[in-house]
Amino acid sequence: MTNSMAEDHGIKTREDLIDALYEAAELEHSLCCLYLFAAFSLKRDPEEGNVTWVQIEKMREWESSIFLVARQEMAHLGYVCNLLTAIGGAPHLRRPNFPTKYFGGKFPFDLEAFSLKTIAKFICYERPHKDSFEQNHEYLRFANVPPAYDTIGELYTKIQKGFETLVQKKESLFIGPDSAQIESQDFPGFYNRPGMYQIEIYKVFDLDSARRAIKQIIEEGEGPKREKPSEECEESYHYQRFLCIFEELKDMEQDSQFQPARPVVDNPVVLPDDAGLPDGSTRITHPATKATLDLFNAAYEIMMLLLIRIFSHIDETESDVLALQKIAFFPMMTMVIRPLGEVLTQMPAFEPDTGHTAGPNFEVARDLTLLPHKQTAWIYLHERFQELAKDCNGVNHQLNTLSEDLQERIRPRLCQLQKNLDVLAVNFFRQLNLQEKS
Amino acid sequence: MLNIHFGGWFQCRLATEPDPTDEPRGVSGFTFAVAGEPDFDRIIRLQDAPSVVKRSHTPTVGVTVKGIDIDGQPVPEQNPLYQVLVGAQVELLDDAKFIGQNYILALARKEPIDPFHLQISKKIDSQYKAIVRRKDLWDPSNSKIDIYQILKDRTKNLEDVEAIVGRRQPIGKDTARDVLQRQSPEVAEATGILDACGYLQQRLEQLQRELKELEALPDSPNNAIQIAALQTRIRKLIPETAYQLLLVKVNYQFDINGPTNVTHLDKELLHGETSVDVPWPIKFWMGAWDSDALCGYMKGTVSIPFKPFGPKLIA
Repeated sequence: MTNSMAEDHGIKTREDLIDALYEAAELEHSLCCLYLFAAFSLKRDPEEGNVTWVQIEKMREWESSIFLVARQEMAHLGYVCNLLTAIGGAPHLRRPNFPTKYFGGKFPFDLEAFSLKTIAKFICYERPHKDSFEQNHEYLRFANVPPAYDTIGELYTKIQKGFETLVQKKESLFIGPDSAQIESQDFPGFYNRPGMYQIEIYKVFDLDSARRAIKQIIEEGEGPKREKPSEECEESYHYQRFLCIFEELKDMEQDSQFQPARPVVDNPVVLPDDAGLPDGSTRITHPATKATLDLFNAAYEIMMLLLIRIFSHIDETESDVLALQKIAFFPMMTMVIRPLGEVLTQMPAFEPDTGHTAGPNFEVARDLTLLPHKQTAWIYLHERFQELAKDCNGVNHQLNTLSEDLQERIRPRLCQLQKNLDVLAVNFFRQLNLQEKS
Repeated sequence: MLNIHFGGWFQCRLATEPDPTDEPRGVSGFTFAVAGEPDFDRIIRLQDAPSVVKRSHTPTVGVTVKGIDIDGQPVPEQNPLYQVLVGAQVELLDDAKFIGQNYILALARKEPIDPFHLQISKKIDSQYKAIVRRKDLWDPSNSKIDIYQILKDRTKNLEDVEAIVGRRQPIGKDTARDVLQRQSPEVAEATGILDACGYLQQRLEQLQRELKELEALPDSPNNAIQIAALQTRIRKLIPETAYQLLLVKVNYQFDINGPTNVTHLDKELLHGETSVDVPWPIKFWMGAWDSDALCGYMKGTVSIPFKPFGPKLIA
């Protein structure tokens, strides 16, 4: 599936279009994870070593910029789900685990700490057409990119052409209910102003709205079409943001002491000792870190299952969808995934400790699928929340195997997480109107 | 009823959405701990203590009693009650925080303050002495229970929980429109900020001048940190958007219900006594959020059933 659009067969059928959108969904989802991983790896305090307060101020700007890009990738994934629903496909939140390859199997997607090389790769993911103006830019040397690969913009341009072709051929391309789609103004509570947190998603119901979605995705990624790159670092599109970080980082690396990232290993993975290790992966062996990584992945999987229900809502009431949104966006993303991701990049990867640290790998052990029956889905998800809280308690009991200094740094966050997960499980129970077993 | 009117600037160094509540320095929201400053701790500080992280050109922290009345009748300045209360310090004890945990405990802008343990104290003979102190409890029958235990209790349904937590939450339904009062004339009057954009523009110019002065000094590690901190403050201070928060407020109103064993009232200083068997109504707003100073303004009234000793205190 991931290689389907690398060769330009064009999009001739609804199935082709759905397949291309599946690839787009996987790309957006994977990019979001890569960006979060790099952002989580950034140091936050001079006490972590090899960074000064002055450098940390700049690093915070980078981190903020990367988080913003990750939020927009998440929104793009939502947009692609809307495009899929509009034409009769199913929202697609599956993706291969890391490490993987995209762009026709040519371009590796690895979870890597923040570095010049990583940012150079991010620029390559987001750059405009491969033959564009910056062909000889220095970042290409750092990124070690394959000689030719399609860009995200090219994939979306094909998708747009597919929509245009099929609208001409078919009278009824848009057969999916727009009521099942999500738009940012529906988001709960207080973040329902368009553009809040730089996230905008609208419903797709005809060719114009499909074009609008695709245009927005392309422009937020590679920027509007232009003759040469903007020199403004304040520009909001991803390609330009990463170019600016690259230039600033290159400049700051003239200080040979400067090391902005924690010593995070590539593609961390938890596997049994006797299981084969995928190429490019790093086996995490520290027990407390393994437990924390498992906790992260359980939380990530629950969040994905919630998102699948949100993007596929069928017989949910408005208040069901609102309740799911109130849990999946805030707080699962901000109060569970991010703190755990940040904690993991401080935890030892190995036992005995070699000084290397782990990171979140966004791994799903099984296929993520829609839980089709609403009531059973709520019961299942509630159980998963309860297990998550229990697992967090288990992690907290293992923290005393870590150094005192590290315990002091991460224990408050994990203890708070424990309290929050306990409440979150009950919030889910209450908000989805689950009944106590008699 | 003795009505004690208070007001003043407070500090609360906290991360803002979409950052997690426990984000230590601020990344994606609009508040930041800048170079050299300690991590955020979210504690609401009503008094200018060493733990307040004072930034240049920002308001002085200090919530004090501004006036008193009994049953609406002003108490004259020469009255001993006036002498002891007006100018007294108002504090929230036990590290009070806005608690929301990004929608887990409460929605944004609907965060209750917890713990809510109000104290009014006065410097007497070089020492601060508590005049009035009372704590609000989530459950007056169980002073140990906290909000997590209430929310975790599955025997309580959504309405029960909303009633318990909602009592101490800002007034208004769950939408920003209902909770936040924007362009509030009361905020403008209390803070004296009649031109919010101009107020921030002036701050920006002060910071820019300070930066120039620092840049003219010889290089030193400390100087570099101060410059980096100022540069971040300048970059993040955008009067065109930040001014909107300056004239915003949220309103709180509840009855402080703590039992007598956690209530303190200095009868001697107050020249009277009060009932602690009944709750004390409190009504206040918090607003005027100055995102550069990490400060806001608080104004309100606590009402205490009061019986003066001896002759009537009102002139």
